[in-house]
Amino acid sequence: MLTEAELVRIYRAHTGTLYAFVSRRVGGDRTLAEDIVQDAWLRAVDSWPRRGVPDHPRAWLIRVARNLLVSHFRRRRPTPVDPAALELEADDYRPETPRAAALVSWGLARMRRGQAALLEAFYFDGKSTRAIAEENGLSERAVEGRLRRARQNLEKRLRPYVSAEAAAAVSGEPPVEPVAALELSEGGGSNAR
Amino acid sequence: MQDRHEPDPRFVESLEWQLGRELRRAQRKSSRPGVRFLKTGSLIAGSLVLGAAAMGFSQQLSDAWRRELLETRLEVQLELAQQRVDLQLETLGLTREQVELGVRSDRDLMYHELQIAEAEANARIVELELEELRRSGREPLGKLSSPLVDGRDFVSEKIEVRMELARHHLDLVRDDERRTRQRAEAGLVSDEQVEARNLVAMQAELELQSLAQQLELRRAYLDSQITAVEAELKLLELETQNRLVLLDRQRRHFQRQLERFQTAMGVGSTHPTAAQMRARVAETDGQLRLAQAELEIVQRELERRSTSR
Repeated sequence: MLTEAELVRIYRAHTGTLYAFVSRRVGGDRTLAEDIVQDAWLRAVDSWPRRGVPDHPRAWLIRVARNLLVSHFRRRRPTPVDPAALELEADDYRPETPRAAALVSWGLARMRRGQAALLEAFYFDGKSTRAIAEENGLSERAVEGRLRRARQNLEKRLRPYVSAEAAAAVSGEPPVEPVAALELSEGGGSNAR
Repeated sequence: MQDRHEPDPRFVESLEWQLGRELRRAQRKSSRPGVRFLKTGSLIAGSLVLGAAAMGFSQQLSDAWRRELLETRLEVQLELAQQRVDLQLETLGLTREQVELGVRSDRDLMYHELQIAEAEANARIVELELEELRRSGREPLGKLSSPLVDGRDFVSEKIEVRMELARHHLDLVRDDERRTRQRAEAGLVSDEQVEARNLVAMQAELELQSLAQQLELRRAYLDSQITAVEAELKLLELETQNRLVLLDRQRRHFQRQLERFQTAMGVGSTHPTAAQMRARVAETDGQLRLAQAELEIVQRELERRSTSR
């Protein structure tokens, strides 16, 4: 039986990682990140006493949190983002503002699991193509090809919501002159190594 | 300065306190007598009868052409399954807009999400079967006693995919149950509807428990704690016990429906509708007796095996 002391031990060992995982995906939106983390832990408390603590509690929590995020983003309407804030093609781009992260997560929640997982690893976990290739037993070239197709797919889904005017209308501020517009050519660009 | 992806210490502390309280509450609840077992079936298992198992191929695909044929079929199935996911995802926006316009309810949106989860689970299972075929060179297997493939446990992986879907389904029906109860408290729906939702929630809970227990049996088999025949017998025992729990619950539900109908209409048992309802109760009685007999046979065999060890 799961004791309170054991639960507290697991909680203290994994909450920081779980929170960081969620927070990166919501661009640091504290309210949303706390809601998701709380919900994931409450599910653990509901499930573990009956089914036992999983062999890898952190992996279990992350899987539940990911599902909660997908569910959250599938239910909401996306908020438009200024193209300057969304450089999906750049090798070192990370969606760091809550709005950009929300839009990317919204798009990922509408993509096939495999493609979404690849982009998630790239944008939110900061993994290089080499690291992704090693984890999945693929060649770097294969990962690059898959990433290119996944980015094209994401860009297609996000296109209607990437607009300086619409973003300004939502924020109530004048549009910013785009510094680097969302440019996703058919060939795509090289990925970080 | 605190990292923006680090949790606020006040949040961490308050959640720790809340979890301790929830755990104590859950343990008090679980110490009460309740439902123990489960059954497989309906939505979760029913929707996942897929791939090679449904094709009727022999296990050993010694002929190259057989393997190629099966692989091609699975590839096409995977493509179709992924297209179904895409289609559900594409129409999600429309459902959401209709909910915002008030044309459809929140519940429709939740069911749409469940359909997406179901389509994704289907696609994932076919993907796993294809991978198993490619690695093993034989038809994908789904028994608890099926062997590992290159050290990989495809059986457990498939069960876990189903569990994910079962969790989603359970969340949804629990929410449905809660809403119906609230509406009943406000006098908007009958107690009978609450009872029906309650039955559905219980079934979903049993499905999830069943899958969790299948996973445990699988581990016990792989750890050589039980033999292949014992694994299959225990699975059968599990399924039958859960069938019994559900049938018993259904029988009581049908019986109450019949009594309510007779009281409300002031009719006797010869009324055609009452007779139909009575027949349903009698049919459930028969299914219950059958399940009990099956359970006895399975348990006798398990007992015989444990004493002859």
